[in-house]
Amino acid sequence: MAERPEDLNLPNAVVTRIIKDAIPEGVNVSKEARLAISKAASVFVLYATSCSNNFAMKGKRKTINAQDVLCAMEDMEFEQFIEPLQQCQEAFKQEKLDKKKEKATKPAPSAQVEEENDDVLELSEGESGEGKQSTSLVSAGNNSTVNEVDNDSSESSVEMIEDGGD
Amino acid sequence: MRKLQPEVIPGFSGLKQSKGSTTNRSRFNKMASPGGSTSLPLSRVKTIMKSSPEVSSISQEALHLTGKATELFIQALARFSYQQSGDKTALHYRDLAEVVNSEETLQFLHDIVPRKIKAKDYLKSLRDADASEEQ
Repeated sequence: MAERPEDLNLPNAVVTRIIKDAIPEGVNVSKEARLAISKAASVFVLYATSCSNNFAMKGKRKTINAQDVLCAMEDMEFEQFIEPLQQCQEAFKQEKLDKKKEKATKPAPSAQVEEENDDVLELSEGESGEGKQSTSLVSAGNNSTVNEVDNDSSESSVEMIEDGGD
Repeated sequence: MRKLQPEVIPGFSGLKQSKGSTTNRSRFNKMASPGGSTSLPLSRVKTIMKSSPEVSSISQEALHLTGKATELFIQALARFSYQQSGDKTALHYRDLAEVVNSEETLQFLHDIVPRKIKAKDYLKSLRDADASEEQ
């Protein structure tokens, strides 16, 4: 996959930005230090991958899953990363869910109903503010445009959303 | 700056945890907040992961988490090196080398970020080794 050795480096600009975000403003980062951190990050990826893969093999699986990565962090003594990673995982799942919702509501844009909106709102209760915002936007748009009830389409789209939740 | 119990192993993770409640925490959260997005390109992270021959396949979530973990790692390494260094205006290579070579958890980086040594000193150490062998 990696035909050139540069392909195994992380992009300089991104790494620099992450470093700058981590230390106080105005602190100069020498070129050598930046390069060292960038290389260290690449090696970190490999190390984490190797540890995760060990956990996957222990579980007799071929695919590395999220739990393997979290176990690897513990194994590598980077326990302090686990909590933020779990948060990130939640956010990731949430994003996926939101995308599915969008997809589910798209196929019948003109046939969306108040009934459906109620269901969607119920489903998104207790989720992040982002989700609520988007659903309220959807409902506002629908209220102004549609009056007619189309039970079939609304039911099927709600089912799809529930599937995504599992 | 460094207030750690002598028995508790690394300052690297120890300091990170004690810092948790202060400003860094909010910055941490801020970085994590725009959904599950990472700033590092996941395609590149995947290329690096796949360069390991024993790895057969990686789930989307695992890739995502590894990317995020790498981001956290870069932050932690930069922040800790800066905190440990005497120079508060700049981050130098020697600060990183010092941290990497003194922290147990960063042992895997020893060959990547070695302490620098002057050629003069290196040659001297070689001569010393020779001398002790001859004796």
